Parts: sequence; structure tokens; C-alpha cells
Amino acid sequence: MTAPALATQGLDKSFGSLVVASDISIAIPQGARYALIGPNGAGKTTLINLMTGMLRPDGGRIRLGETDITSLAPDQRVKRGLARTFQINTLFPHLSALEAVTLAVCERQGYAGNFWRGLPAFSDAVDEAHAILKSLSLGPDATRLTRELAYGQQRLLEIALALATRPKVLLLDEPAAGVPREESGELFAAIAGLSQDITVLFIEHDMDIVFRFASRIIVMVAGSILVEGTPQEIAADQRVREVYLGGAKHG
Amino acid sequence: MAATATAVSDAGMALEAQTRWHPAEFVFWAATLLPFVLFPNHLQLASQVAITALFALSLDLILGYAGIVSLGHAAFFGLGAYTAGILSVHRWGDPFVGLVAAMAVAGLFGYATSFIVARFRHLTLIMITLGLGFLLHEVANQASWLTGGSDGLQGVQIGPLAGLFRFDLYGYTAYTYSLIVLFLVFLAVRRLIHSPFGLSLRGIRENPVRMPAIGAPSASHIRKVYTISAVIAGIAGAVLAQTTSTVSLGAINFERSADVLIILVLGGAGRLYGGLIGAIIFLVARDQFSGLAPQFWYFWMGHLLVLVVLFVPGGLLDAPGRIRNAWRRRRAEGRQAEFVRRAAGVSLLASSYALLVISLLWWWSFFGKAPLALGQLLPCLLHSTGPCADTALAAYAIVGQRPYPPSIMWIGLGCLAVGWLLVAIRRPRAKALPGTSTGGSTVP
Repeated sequence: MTAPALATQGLDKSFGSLVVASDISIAIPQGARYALIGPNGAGKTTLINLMTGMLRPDGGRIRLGETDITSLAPDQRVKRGLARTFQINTLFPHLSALEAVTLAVCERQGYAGNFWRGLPAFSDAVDEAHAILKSLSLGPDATRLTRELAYGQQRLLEIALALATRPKVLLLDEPAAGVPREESGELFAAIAGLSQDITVLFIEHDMDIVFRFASRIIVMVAGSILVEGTPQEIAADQRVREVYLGGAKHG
Repeated sequence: MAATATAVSDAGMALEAQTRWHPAEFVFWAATLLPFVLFPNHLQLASQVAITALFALSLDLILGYAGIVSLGHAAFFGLGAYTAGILSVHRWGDPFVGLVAAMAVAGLFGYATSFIVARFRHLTLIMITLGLGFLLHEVANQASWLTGGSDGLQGVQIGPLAGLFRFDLYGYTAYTYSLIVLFLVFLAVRRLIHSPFGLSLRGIRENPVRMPAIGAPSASHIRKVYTISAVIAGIAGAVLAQTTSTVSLGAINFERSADVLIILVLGGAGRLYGGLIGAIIFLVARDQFSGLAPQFWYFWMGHLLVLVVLFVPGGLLDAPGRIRNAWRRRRAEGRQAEFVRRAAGVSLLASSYALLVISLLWWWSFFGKAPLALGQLLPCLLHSTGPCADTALAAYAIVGQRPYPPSIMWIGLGCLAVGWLLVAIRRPRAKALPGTSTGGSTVP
């Protein structure tokens, strides 16, 4: 139980001479709510891509709980409980919300290889998908096509798809990107309402939201970790103020 | 709690509604029996249509559902055809034996190549499938000791179907056989696309980036569907070999790969019936054209393809839905009359274009060889009498080519005039525009 839910050790990645991750070592304990902040181009999304296997690190290890997942393919990492969402909607435009989430549930349950029985026969998967959609207040629009959903609803569907994989660790890449400020609080309330069994790491630019929902904050600058600490520590940290907050008032 | 339970079952019901048979489907399959009654002399053609539809269905599985574009799908069709044909040459002429063997061979080759196919997308994938198609075509061409090469396979002897029904000259058995095979495979494919596996395929088509992020092994799904698709293409090839008792390089060449792609795109990919409708239109139209001016076949196919891809990218099966949506929009704006008028106008203009081009081509192919100057030939465009008509009719009556009827040109011109009028009429609101411009011109 003492092993962190997700840990990286000395992760390195560079594209040619551009270093996008250098010696990233973090350890996120079980059930924590971590925020990952940093200026544009700091390598936040790259770090998520490295952890989920969409990019291969040049060096370093990634551990999910007790297992080393460094060499696993992205889908196998998901099977072991590491899910993510995308900063830019990465959905299934011509599937209904219900179909999309059912698809994710079927993949998890191992139903997806079945090509002989109709989808309605797998009512447990369909019901679970519908329950996930309802928990994110997408129930009334479950049968509408993804592309017809409002933008805010599509952001929620991003999270619904990740939840359908029953993650132990959930990486949210700017879940409220593009959502109007007044609605982003609502979206984060849904995230805050997630089970405490799920460990969450989220990228977010809105400092109010970061300080409200994160138990700890990691600050990244130019591909490496500048500092990690509680919201109070980060708010008081002079380097963070200089590099990232630019002396803005906080704390 | 009760409300929750209903909502959940509603969700299931929404999915179930998609899998239910639509009345139009019953009508379609009932209509496939019509050729027996209405066109008993065209059963061979009907059989070709069923086989091509089956081939298109197999491409639809990978292209329409999983989003894998293949330009070499004839490889599997050809493998099936040659397997069934070669077996029959060596006294294994029973249709079912040939069918099973064709499935096995095509499936095996499909499974082997699926490992390459599953790794790539887009242009790379198109080139790989194209290359594999060329490769197999050349193997079939060179291995003439086995395949007969460019002369085609000699000595194909297909036994009676189920040991009872001989393949007759009129294609009665052929169409029965093709139709039964098509229907059975269709049932299986229909089941497949409504299964969780089918949903995963649509997921791959809709967003290959997201699939691994929800834990889906896309590559393994693609390998599986590619193999299934290859098996079905092999079945189609075997049925062609058996119903026609011939196997030639035409079963495996690039043209067949391209044709089936055109058929599917015309009819509508990812719609289950798209390939079926496309095959009917393509083959029936080609059959009709070959009696008229076969050299222009791809000329017209090119027109149709460009028009469909530009205006109904979802294929012809998508057209009714689009027209319905446009109609609803106009009705909401209270502009039904304008919609009907413009729709009629546009259809008339399109028909006039087709008629005028047909008449020009027909006129030239009929009179062009006559020993007359162009100026003397021109009147024949509009009149069936006159010196050029007399000369040409006398010269070509023997050849048996159907004489050019000037009425086509007249009908085309009529359509052009009426269509232009219908489209050009402006609504009263638009008439205000010239008024304002004259008002402006009075200022200086």
C-alpha cells in the first residue's frame, strides 16, 4: 500500500536538440489530487504522453503501483489502470455518447472481441456506460451523436471515456480547456466528486481552480520540475512567482 | 429507483433499435428475387451483381467500418477464384469444396498480410495494399503452368450444386447460388457490425488515436477484421469462378480493386447496403452502356463519381437523408415552393448536360467516319434527314450500329431551357435589387 500509485524515475525525452523532459521524477500517492502547472511549452502534455506510452522516453522508468510499465504499449497501460483525457477533444464524432462509453466498457470487460452477439446482449456493459454518463449529467443526451453534443458536454465525455476504463490513476490534460470560466468550476466539481480510490493528476491554467482542487502541485518549467509542494508552499515560493506567476497576486 | 431502471433500459433499447430489421431491408431482399420473374434472360448479369455486391461487402467491412483503405482487394478475390478454379481442374469440382478451400486460402493470405496492414494508415497503407495487389497479379500472370497466365485457366469443370443442380446456360442455378451465398454472408456481416467487435471497428474508424487510450488493441482488431474481409472476398471470387466456369487475370487485376472501391464509394461506405446498391447501379449501367458506346463507360463513371463525392460524400444511400434534411430546413423557413422549383431546375439542367453530351458523342461516333465535311455533318445533330443522314445511313446500316436519333439533342435542349428558367427565377425579394441599382444610377 505504501507504493505510490504512479511514479516516474529520471524520465528523459528530447526531439533532436529540443529537450522536452529532463530527469522527471515524481511519485503520486494513492488517492491524491495533483495539479501539474507551468508555462506553455513547459512539457506538461509531453509528460502525460510519456506516462501513458504515447511517447517513448529516451531514459528513465515509469511505475504504476508495483509494476514497471515503461515498456508496455498504451492500451496495455490502460488495462492496468492508467487512463488519460486529451486537451483537444479526441472523441468518436459519429458514435453516440452511449456507444462511445459502451465501447470503452466492452474493451475493458474483454467483450470487444465478440463478433457474433449483438451489443444489446451485453446489457451490463450498456448499463454501466449509461450510469457513467448519468454520473456526469450526460444521461439525457446519451443517445445523441458525439459531434452534436455541446462543447462542454464533449469535455465531460472525454472524462466519461476515461472513467469507463475503471482507472486507478487518471491523468487529465486541461479538462476545462476552452470551457467558459463560469462552467469550468462545474466541470471540476464533477472531477472532485470522483471516488477517492482514483488518483488524479490534472493540468490546468486557472490558478483559482488549481488552488481549490489540488492537494499538491507540481510546477514544470522548460522540461524539468521546478518545485513540488502543497498549494500554500507553491503560492509562497519565490521562484514560482518569478518564473511562472510573474509576480501575480496569489495566497 | 424505478425511474432509473427505465432510463437504463431506454438506453439499451436505443442500441437495440439500431440492430432491428428495417422494413426497407425486407423489401430489398424480396426484390432480389424479382430477376427470376422479370428478367429471366439476365440471370447471368444478376449473378454477377450478387457476386460484386458480396465483394463490395467485404471491402465495406474494412473500409466502411474500420476505415482501412485498400486498393488491392482483388488479391483476395483472385485467390478465391483461382483456388476454386484450379481445384476444379484437378477434379475437385464440387462447389462447396471449392468454396471452403477458397475461404481457407484467401483467409490465410489475409491473415499473413494483416500483420503489415495493421501497422500503417493513410497513404502508406494504400500503397502497401496496391503493392500486394500488383504482386499477386504478377504471380498469377507468371505461374502459367498453374493458372494459365494471360490465357486464363483452362479446363474448369464445376460439378452440380449440392450434387443436384447443374450450372445452366441461363444462369438460373448461378443466380440462385450467388444470391444464397450473398444473403448468408450478409447475415453474418450484419451480426458482426452490431456486435461489440463491430463497435470497436467503428471506434477505429472514428478515432484511431483515442482507441489505445481507452485500452483498445486496435492492431489486433484490424488483423481480425482484415482476415474476415479477405475470407469474404475469397468467397466472392470462388463463386465467380464457379458460376462462370472461367478464371482469368481479370479476377485479380487492379481494375477489379478499383471498381469495387468505386462501387462502395458510390453506394455509400459503412452502410451495409452501400456496396449492394452500388453494385446494382454499376453493373446494370455498364451492361446498358456496352450496347451503346462502351468506350465511354468510364467517362460516365467519372462524372458520376465526381458528382457523388462532391455533393453526397456519404454515397447514394446518403442522398435521401440529405434531401429530407434540406426539405425540412426549407419547410421551416416556409420556402417549400422554392425548394421544389430549384430541385426540379437543377435535375433538369443535369439531365440536359447528360443528354447533350450523349447526343454529341453518339452523333460523332455514328457520322464521324462518313466522308463528309464537318459543316455538312452538323445538320445531322438536329435532323434525321438530309444528305449526311442519307450517306451515313447507307454506309452504316450494314454494321448494325444504332443510328443517332436527333430527338435526344432536342430533348436535351428543352431540358436546358426549362431547367435554366426554373433555376433563374428570382423570388420577389430578390427583384428589389435591380430597383435599388437603378435608383443609384439616377443619382449622377
